[in-house]
Amino acid sequence: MSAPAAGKKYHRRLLLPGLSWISLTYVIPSILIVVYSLLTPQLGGGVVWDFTLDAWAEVFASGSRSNIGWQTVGTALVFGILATLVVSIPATVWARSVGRSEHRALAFGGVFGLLVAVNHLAGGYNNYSAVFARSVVWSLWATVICVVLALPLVVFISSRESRVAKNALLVAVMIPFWTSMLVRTFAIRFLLSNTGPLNNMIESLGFERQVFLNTRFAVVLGLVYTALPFMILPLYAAVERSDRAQLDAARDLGARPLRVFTEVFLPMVKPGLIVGSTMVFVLSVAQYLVPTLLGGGKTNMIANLLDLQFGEAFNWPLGAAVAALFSLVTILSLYLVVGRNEELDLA
Amino acid sequence: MSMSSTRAKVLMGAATWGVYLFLYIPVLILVLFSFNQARTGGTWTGFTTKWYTALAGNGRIISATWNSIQIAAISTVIAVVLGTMLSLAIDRYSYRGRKTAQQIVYLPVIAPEIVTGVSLLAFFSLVIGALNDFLGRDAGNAIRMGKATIIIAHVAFGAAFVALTVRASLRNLDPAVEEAAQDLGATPWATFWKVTLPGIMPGVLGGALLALTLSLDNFVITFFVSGPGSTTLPIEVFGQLRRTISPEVNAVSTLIFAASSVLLIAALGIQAGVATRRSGQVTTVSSTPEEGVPDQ
Amino acid sequence: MAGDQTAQGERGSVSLRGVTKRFGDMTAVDRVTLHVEPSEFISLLGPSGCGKTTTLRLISGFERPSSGSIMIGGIDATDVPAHKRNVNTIFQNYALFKHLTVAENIAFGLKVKRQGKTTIARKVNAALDLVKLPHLTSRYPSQLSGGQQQRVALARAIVNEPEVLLLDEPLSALDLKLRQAMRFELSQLHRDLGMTFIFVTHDQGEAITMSDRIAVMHEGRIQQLDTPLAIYERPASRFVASFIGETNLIDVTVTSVEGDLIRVKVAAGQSVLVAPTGGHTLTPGQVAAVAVRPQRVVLESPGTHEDATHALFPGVLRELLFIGDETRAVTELTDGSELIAVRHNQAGSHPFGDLRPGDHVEVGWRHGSACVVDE
Repeated sequence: MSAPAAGKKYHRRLLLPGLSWISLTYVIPSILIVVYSLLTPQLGGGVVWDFTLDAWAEVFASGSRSNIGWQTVGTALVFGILATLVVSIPATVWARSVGRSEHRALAFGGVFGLLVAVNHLAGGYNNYSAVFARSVVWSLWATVICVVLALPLVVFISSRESRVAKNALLVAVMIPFWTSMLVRTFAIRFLLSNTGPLNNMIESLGFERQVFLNTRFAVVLGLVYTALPFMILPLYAAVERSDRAQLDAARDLGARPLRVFTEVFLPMVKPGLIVGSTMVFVLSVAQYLVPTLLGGGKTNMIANLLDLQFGEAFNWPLGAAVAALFSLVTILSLYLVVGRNEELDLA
Repeated sequence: MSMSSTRAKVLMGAATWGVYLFLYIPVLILVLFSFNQARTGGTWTGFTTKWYTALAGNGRIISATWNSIQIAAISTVIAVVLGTMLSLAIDRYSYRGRKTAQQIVYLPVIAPEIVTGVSLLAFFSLVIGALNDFLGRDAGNAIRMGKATIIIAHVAFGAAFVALTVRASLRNLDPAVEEAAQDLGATPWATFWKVTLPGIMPGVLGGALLALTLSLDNFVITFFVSGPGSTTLPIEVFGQLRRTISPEVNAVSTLIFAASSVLLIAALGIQAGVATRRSGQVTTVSSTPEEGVPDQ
Repeated sequence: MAGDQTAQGERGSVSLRGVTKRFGDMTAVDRVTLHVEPSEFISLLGPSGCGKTTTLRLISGFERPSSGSIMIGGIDATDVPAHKRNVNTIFQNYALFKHLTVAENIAFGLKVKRQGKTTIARKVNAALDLVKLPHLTSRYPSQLSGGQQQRVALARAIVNEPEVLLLDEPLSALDLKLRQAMRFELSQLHRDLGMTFIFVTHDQGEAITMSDRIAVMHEGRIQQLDTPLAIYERPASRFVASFIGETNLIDVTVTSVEGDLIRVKVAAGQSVLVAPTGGHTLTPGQVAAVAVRPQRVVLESPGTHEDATHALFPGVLRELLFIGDETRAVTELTDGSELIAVRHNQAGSHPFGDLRPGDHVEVGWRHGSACVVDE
């Protein structure tokens, strides 16, 4: 953008107040967190200024090794392989059909399977890497489910012919997007609670009451529920931007509907899928309210771990180490996914 | 074959309405049961508005609401000023370090809230501790975290989101218009008030509403930087719903839901109104067709 | 494949019978009946919103008719979905797959039909040669110029050897010079391939230079279907006359029909004879218009022509406009209506002789060179 002729001296005055405010609240505390992770915990919160690597050692090597039998290892293996197949097969088929590298699709499935296996195995350890793995796996599930739910919806909205209908349907997506996360999470908690409306309905139909709350199901459902609009909106933008004539062209050249979908539609909306998935994943993996209100336990996901260390456990250095590691992973994955796709400009 | 495409359309429609049900049923049930007679459980026993009446007498909720409004109002005003300045600095000037400045400004948009929350907790406790030592205050009259720390945090992310929203408007405002104003003798200050600001008003208003909503709704960051006497509405509600499931929580949640829906629709209405007025002007002003612009 | 079932001798023919397409309250195509012969180059010509693109989309199968039937190659294709029809389309903005290379774009249709790798490679190369675009196989569409994208779109369609090639304003996104070069190339391609071409355009120049026949469309209907020459010389309606080329339209009332000739009364006064249009019948008392091309307008000093072969009216020459290789003369008749005459400029002599603005003149036409059109 060209600068106004007399502009040189103005940009600093415009920039400085806001930039220093944000630096003070985001940059300096981030540096401080790294410093804290190298200090000694103080009883009752805070730190003692003695440098040590204890916190980092605990993050990577801790764990109350309880009973891990062959059964656990076996089921972990089975789950890992299943998860690998579930992700790799469709990914590979797609990669092959569009002539893209199959290795990346396979690797992606492999990493997912490995995470699922570690997650299962680490369930017996109850250590920090287990919390990390669980957070990532649950968030990936939420991302996949959001994609599946959002795709037909955005296609349906964008194929409405009246402008009014389109806008109404979009606003209907944006209202929950705009509503307090706390209220939305509470709504799910209320619905699923042991004496809640869902269980009453189940009972009145002659079935037994189920425990929904404090299960993996409840947490993943909550993640999907709170993050779904973040998938729908970018995906919708991508579908609206896309060139409909290319879909017609594929049909014109003899492609069946499924082929049109996988070979032309999906590649066309890929930027939207990437932005949406990134947003859902990043939002989910750092979720605090959902695992707290729907998961019940103390160490469900990373955010609970942080809350615990900065709250009841009063081990600030350990919490700082977890936070630093988590930020690093988040920033790295954002950089890897968004940074490589130059057409994606989040900012 | 054309049968199957009709079937696909029907399936897609069904899936769409299914997703809408999924988005709305939990909230609607929550709203419905805020009018339920029974104190506990999910069984409908009759209509009442007594939980709303009870809210009016709930001192904790009322003072938390008042705190929230104060914090949101103050932090929004500061965030709008800072955010608009930032967007101008990032979009309208070129200088060394602009890219870095931009990355720092958008940090609050991408940083996980929970990490921000604990980092700020660490930061504020360090600063406040040092301040108390310096002023020689003891436990009795020590400075603590409270509304001030909450506002400092809310201004930071509010300004980032305002900058983001305003920048979208700035991109649609031709810098040549500003240059024309200066060419006609307007000072930079006058140019801003008479040309730039009216041009980016939809972005500024949108950003203000976004900052307001984010501040009112924020839970995670506020949770870590609040102190005694500065409890905001989300924190109060969170505390209550962890303790009990009472229809009073449903009632306050319903009110929050209604308020944010009204805010959103107001925001969209303002933007649509500005946009149609604007596009009406554009068609009358620019009579020359854009030549050489490809169709795509 | 549909092509295998095609009746011999009908391959490449397209028939629309009473085809109507409604979108809500709007009738985009209104009872269109049209028969396209095999290997014909036919243009659907009309202003935007006239239903020409919808007609094309009905033939390609993207839209289904609200009523009526469509035959392709002698087979009823009304209910056949787009991907099973043996027709291919060149889209207005080409609709190239941006995530695929040039070669992958062209191979798409063949891959979908599960042809072998070597066959695909051979056909893709042949198609690229045909559109004069080799050496660019591994580029992406975004790296090509508009003209090159146009050629890739052509190759992507013709590589499938369709019975019928549908072209939806394929030249409108190109600049003027390229557009004219492509007209020639498309005509040549049509001759070489022997495919049926159905070409949609709003540019009368394109339609006239390339087509065997033109269907002029207006408000969802075919107004006239004939050869370019016949449409130019004998427009069937006021709309066709004004849409194709430049035309003087003079409001008249039909007084009598005398065999081949029609006598009309012009507002300026006299009853005059003009040649009829082809196609439609006129009855005495009917309000109509006489259409005369400016090149055919006779403009003389009073008293030059006194014979019965001309219809001439008194008027005043208002303006002479020199426009490069031609000169336009604007005349005003006694009732205030205008008639424009155009002559090519020739070296050394003034095309309208000694006439100067303000002169009294006689202006009109020779009987055979004008025609009557109805409303």
